[in-house]
This record gives sequence, C-alpha cells and structure tokens, in this order.
Amino acid sequence: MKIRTKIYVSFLTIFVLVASLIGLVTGMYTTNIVRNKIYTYLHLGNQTKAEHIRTFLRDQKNSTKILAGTLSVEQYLMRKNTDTEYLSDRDLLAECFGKIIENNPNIYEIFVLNTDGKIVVTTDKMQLGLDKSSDAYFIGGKNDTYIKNLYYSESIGKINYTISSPVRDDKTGNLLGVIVVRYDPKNFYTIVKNENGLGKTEENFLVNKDNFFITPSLFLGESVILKQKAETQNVNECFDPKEIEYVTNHGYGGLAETVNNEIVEAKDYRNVDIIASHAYIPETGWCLVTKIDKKEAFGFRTNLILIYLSIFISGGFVYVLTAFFISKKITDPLKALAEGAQKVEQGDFDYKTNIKTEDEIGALSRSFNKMTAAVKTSRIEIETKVSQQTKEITEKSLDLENQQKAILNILEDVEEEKNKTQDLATDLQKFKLAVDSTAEHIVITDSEGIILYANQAVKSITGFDSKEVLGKKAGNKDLWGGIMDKKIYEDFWTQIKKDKKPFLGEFNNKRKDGSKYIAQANVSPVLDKDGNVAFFVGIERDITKIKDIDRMKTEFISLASHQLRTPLSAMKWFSEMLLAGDAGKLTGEQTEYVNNIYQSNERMVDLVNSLLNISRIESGRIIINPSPTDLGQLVNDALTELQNKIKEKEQNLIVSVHPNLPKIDIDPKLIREVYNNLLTNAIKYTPQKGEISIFISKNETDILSQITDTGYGIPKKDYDKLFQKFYRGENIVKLETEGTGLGLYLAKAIIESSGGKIWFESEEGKGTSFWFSLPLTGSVPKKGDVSIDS
Amino acid sequence: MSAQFPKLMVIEDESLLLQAITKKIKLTGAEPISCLSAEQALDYLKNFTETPDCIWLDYHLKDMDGLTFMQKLKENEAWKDIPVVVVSNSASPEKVNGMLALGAKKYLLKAEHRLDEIIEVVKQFIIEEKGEIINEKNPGS
Repeated sequence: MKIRTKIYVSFLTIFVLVASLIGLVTGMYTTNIVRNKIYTYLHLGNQTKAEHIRTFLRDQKNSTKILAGTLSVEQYLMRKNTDTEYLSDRDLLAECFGKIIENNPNIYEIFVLNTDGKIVVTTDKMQLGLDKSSDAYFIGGKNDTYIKNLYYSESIGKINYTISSPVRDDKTGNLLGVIVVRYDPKNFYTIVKNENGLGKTEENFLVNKDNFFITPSLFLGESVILKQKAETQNVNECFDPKEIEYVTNHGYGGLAETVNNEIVEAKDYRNVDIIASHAYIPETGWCLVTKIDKKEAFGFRTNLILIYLSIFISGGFVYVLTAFFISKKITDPLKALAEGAQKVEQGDFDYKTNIKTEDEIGALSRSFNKMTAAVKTSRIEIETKVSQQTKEITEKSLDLENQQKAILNILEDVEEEKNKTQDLATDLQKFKLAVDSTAEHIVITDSEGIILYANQAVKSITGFDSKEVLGKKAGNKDLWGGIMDKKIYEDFWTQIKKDKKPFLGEFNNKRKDGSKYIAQANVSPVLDKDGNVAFFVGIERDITKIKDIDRMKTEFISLASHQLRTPLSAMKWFSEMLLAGDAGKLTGEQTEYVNNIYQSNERMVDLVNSLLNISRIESGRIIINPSPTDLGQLVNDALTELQNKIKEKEQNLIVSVHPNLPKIDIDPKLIREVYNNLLTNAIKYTPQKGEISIFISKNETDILSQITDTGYGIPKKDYDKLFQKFYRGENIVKLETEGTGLGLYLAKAIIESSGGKIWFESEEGKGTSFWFSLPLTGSVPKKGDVSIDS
Repeated sequence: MSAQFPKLMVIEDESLLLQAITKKIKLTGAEPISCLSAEQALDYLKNFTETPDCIWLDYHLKDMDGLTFMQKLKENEAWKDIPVVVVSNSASPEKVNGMLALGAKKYLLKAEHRLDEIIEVVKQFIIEEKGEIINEKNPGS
C-alpha cells in the first residue's frame, strides 16, 4: 500500500470512528431528554385539562344550586294548585327560565319536578305533568346536586347531560321538589378538545366508566360518542380501583412524582403507537386521555439524523482535503526521490533531487545526491577501462548471450513448474511439441522483432537453423526478408507495432540458399497489461506450391478452352453452311436437327467464353482499364442486344436512371458483362409477360444498380450457394435447361475486383432483385495481360 | 489488278476449317487461295505475280505466328499494302494490339462469328482497298 493511501485510510478510520461515537451518544442523549420532556408535557397537559373540566363541572353545579335556592321557585312549590296565583306564578317562572336559556345557549331546557317526580314548571310546555320519578336526575337530585352523565335523551332526541339540585323549604329544610337543567355538551367538547400544543396528533378525549367515548375523537369525529369503546391500556389503568381511590381522596398532585408511571407507551384505539397520559375525574367517573402519536413525538430524530449526516459529510470533506494535503506534503518529496532514483537507474548520473526540507526526507535526499555523485565517479572509471578492452560488437554478442541465457532460464523455470504440477507439465510439453513440430514456421520475437524462439519448421522452410536465427531481427535481409519494396515492410511494421493490429498477408521471402518462396504470414502482437507490445508471434506458411498449382490450373483451363475453339468453329461453320443450303436444300426435319446442333454448339462457345473469363479473373491476370462511363448508356447498350429476347417473351421493361448520374471511372467492358449476365438471367427466369425493372440511383458514396424481375425466385436453401461456380438453382434447372452456372459467379468476381458489392433479395414464386454498387471514386486500374472476351 | 473475282488468300492450318472457308468464299462469288501454312502462302506470293486482294490470316500457325508473317509481308514492297484480317481463336490484348500496330485491318475471334459475317467484313476491306488504289492512280481527281 502506498504511503499516501495509508495516511488516507488511517485519517478516515479515525474520523469515521469519532464521528460515529459522537453521533450515537448525541442521538441517545437527545432521545432521552426529549422523551422526558414529552412525558412531562403530556402529564401536565392532561392534569391541567382534568382540573379544568372539574372546575367547569363544579361551576355548573353551583349555578344549578343557586337556581334551586331562588325564592320564586321555593314560593311556587309551596303553593297549592288550588291557589289563584298558582297558574300565573308557573308561567312567570317558565318565562324567567326562558330568559336564562336565552343568555346561555349551552342550556337546552330548565324544568322543575315536584316531590312526586312530576314536571310542574318547564320551558317546554309539552312536557308539563310528565312523571319523571324513576329518572336518575330525580332520584339523585332529591339528595344533593347531581350530574347525570352524557346520555341520549329520548324526550329531546339529543345527547345531553343534566344537573339537578333539590329545592328545599328555607325554614324547615323540607324537600319541596327538584330543579333540573339540561345542558348541550358542545361547549364541554370544546373544553376537552382544546389542545396543549404538543403536536398535530395530540388528542384529548373522555370516556365514561363503561369505556364509551363521550367526546369526539380527533380522528373519527363525533360518531364515536356513546357508540365506540376505547379499551386501551391507559383507560384500563385510569379505572384501576387503587387509582380511583387515590384521586378521589388526594387529587392529582401526589401523582406528579410518579410521572413515568402515569405515562403509557402503547397502541391506541386505532392500533397506532402512541404515548399517553390519563386522569380520572371523580365527580363523574370519567377518564380523560391525553395522547400523541409516537411517530410525531420522536419525529425530530429523522431531522436530527439529517442534520448530523450533513455535518458529517461536510466535515468529512474538509477532513479528506486536509488528509490529501498532508499526505501530499509527505509523499511528494518521496515521489521526487523515487523519480530521481529511477532517472539515476536509467543512467542520468547528473540528476540532483531538489528537496530543500530540513526533515528526515531532506536528509535522505542530500545523502542520495551524494551517493549519485559517488556512483557517477566510479562508473566513469569503470567505463574507461571497459571501453578500452571491449568493442561494441562483443558487447552486443554479450547482450545476446545474456538474452539467450535469460530465455534458457525462462525455459528452465518452465521445467521447474513442470515438475511441480504434473498435469501442467504434460500440457506444456504437448503444446511445445505441437509448436515445435508443426509444419508452419513459427517465431516469437520481443517488441523490437528480435527472435526469441523459432520452431523446427523455420529450418525446413527457410534453411536457417535456430542458432542462426535467435537474437536476429525477424525478416531481416540477413534472414528470409528484404527482397520486397521497402515500403511494404514499413507498412507492415507500422500495423503490428504502432497500431498493434494483427497482420495477415503474403510475403515474398528468400531461403538461405537464395531461392525465393511465397509465404502467407500471420503476425500478431501480444500486449502486456499496460497495453504495450510484449511479444510478436509470427506464423508463416510456404504457399509457393499452392500458388503454382493454382496458376497451373488456371493456365490449363485457358489452354484447354482455346484449343476447344477450333473444333467449335468447325462445327459452327459447317452447320451454318448446311442450314444456308450450301450443300443442297435440307428437308424440314434435317433443318431442325442441324439447327439443334448449331444451338448446342453456340452454348458450348458461351461456356468456353465463361470458363475463360473466370480463369482470367481467378488468375488475377485480367486488365481493369477504367474510363469515365455513363452507366445509363451502358445499360441501354446491353438492352439493345437483349431486345429480341424480351420481345419474344412479351415482357414489360421499366428503366429508371437517376437524372444527374455522374460518369464514373469503371471498366465498361467488365461492367457491361455484369449487366448482361444479370439481365439475361432476369429475362430467362421470368415467365411470359412478366416484368423486368432496372433502377440506377446514387447515394453519397456509390452508384447503385438494381435489377428486379417478377420471375421464379430463388429458394432459401440456395441463397448461400448462389454465387458459387457452376451452381444453378434447383427450381430453375428443370425449367430452363440452358445455363452454365457461371454468370453470377463472374458478375460477383467483376464487381468485387471493381471495388463494389453485389447482393440480392428474393421470394420464391414472386421474383428476385439484384443490386450492385460501384464506388463514385471509381475502380482502381489494374495492369494485366488479358481482357474479357478475348 | 482488277480481275473479275476478288482474290482472297486464306491461311488456316486446320484443314477442316480451311475446307469450310474455301467453300463459303466460292459460294459468295470470290476466288479463294487456300494455304495450310505460312510457308505455302509466302511461296504463292513469291511465285505468282498476281497478288490477292485480301488475306485472311489465322494467328496460330504451325510454322510461324501471325506477327512474324505480318512482318515478312510488310518487308516486301509488293505485299505491304494487301489488307489483312486476322481470324484467331485467342485474342489477348497483346496479340491484338501487336497485329493492329503492324497494319492488320481487323482482329476477329473465330468462334464468335458466323462464316458469312467474316466474309462480309473481308469483302468490305476489298472494296475499300480498291477505292484507294483508284485514288492513287488518279491523283488529280
């Protein structure tokens, strides 16, 4: 590991450790503080609200008590119903109550019951005289001021609560009746609901002793009232007999010390995690719950983490930057020293390091400079001595020997490896044997082309044995190279060394005895991991004989074809004379037969011409003589010759030539042959009344010729054989007996040697399209000794 | 010069072909002089004062090639103006250009042409040649 990396890693490790520790402790500490705060606030909020509710209820109770003590109520109840003022007093009292209700919208109704529990005065006249002796507000109200819990009143059809109070004779203290005030609970809901500001999910609600909601739920609304139960852990704790007893006797104060016991972390009636506090309300036997969602309560933690992370990252960045500069400060002089050492190693003894620091590295640098100077002095001395004794050549041979030794060492190393693992050894032996004894000439060279290895075939092909070859530059003129144009070797070297691309091609080489041969060479660079050339592997094959055979074959075809022309001419001319009646008039049947001979002979002439053309192209002896040519004109010339055939088959001909077609440099004789072949095929393999279209168009680089027919088409399985010599499609062999199977082969050979491409698309039974392209830049002229049709 | 029939010398070493050519020339109303070798042709030219109106020459002859024959023809003042049409079974650009350079009028490929086509070409040259002779004899016209 580099020093710089080490510094980075240690700095970063410390930073991450410390930061994580701080983060963890802060997180835990903060969470604890916040939890305590939330507990306290919840508890206090809950207690305050409970007190508030109690005060509110007490106030309403007092109001009722005062109303009961009013003289007019007392006087009215003491009257007998036979008294003349009984009815007027009743109305007066009802009117008085009505005014109270007007001023206090929270009151639904005020009414008075007599000792028998019958309504004697009321703000709702409909109820006058009803018997309420069995109602809780009568029974409870006879003794003391009594609150009847929230309930559904059938008489008014609403949820309400009532406070009733006894009316007594001021003097005797005897019970005269009961006054009842019926309250609207809306105001009460508001008091309970009012938030303590703990958060959005803070909720306060009351449940009665049967666990039913009596105030609305924040989340579910008023529909829960007296309909849904809240049987949660804190409600259960609230109604714990011990707690009820304590609160009834001591109030809430004493519980403050045990805040944590009063706080519950549990699920609420929605099954959501919450933190809650509760208070029992002894006057009514209710339970007040104050709670908040745990998620919100501890929501600050997410923010805390984000803040901490941003501090951590920006801190880390500054830290890494610092580490970078510190490490640079330390490693730069070290690097300079290392570079100095490398320069000295390469022989630059005048190099001085330029480190001026006063620390250990500075001292090291100064020692290094001194050492360099010392080495230089001693080296000069040695060089003087050596140069006197040794000349350059012996030095080179020494280097060579060293290289050879190095190679032998490598081979020895390979031997060692071989002993270690038997399998590997066997493999290596096999490969070495294969490479050693293969018939192909194989050499491995270093990046400068100096031969490091040569197999046995090198000797059998070139005549040089491996001792003569090792250490020399491959393909040098001392060895098998040097007889071709210098530029060819330079281009070859550029390709493999500079462009690092494999070379595949032919070389003219010479053997040790001076005789020449043709080699097919495949030279590939082997790159090291940095992408530099480490070795070259060269594989060559002597193809002189193959070339000779190829040439002989071509010559044979050429000779044979020429010789065939003499008898063909004889047959042509004699049958021609017979048909002309030169030997007397022939009968109809005789004319037919001689004509058959004449036609067959013509086919044979065509075949010989095609064979000759092919042998010319294959042998590479054909002349390509480009001249500026108008392809449209060329097609028309070709069509003129074929006009009769088209007419005979009543085929429809469409010719479309690009209006601004430039002339291009191609060999008109050759390309005309292509048009001729493709058009002859199109006519021949398209039935009567079919259509033949010719399109000549151009793009940026080429002129495209398209010849389309509506003929028999080419079966899929023939596609890859179509351009092969002597191949004729299976479907058309039966339909058209005439044909040599050479036309497309010839067309392809001509187009490719003219720098173009040829291809086709076809559908059996529908037709075929052939395309060929010719470059706008034209064909490359080629010297040779034969032309087409000679 | 002006005989009744144009004289046409045919040099062709394939006797079958020579037979066909001779027969056809006769049928077209010309007078054939048939030679199976170059030597035979040269003998005829030396021994008969009347020169042919045109020579039909095969390039490949057993005793001599077309070029040599042409050179011999051109060396002799009496023969050098006789039009020559080469009819051969090979027509490499080298041979064609060589022969045309030596003054051959036309180079035809044997199997590519009908016999009557070739004879028509030869006749054309005879007419041309005779016209030229007339012009030479009457420089004033």
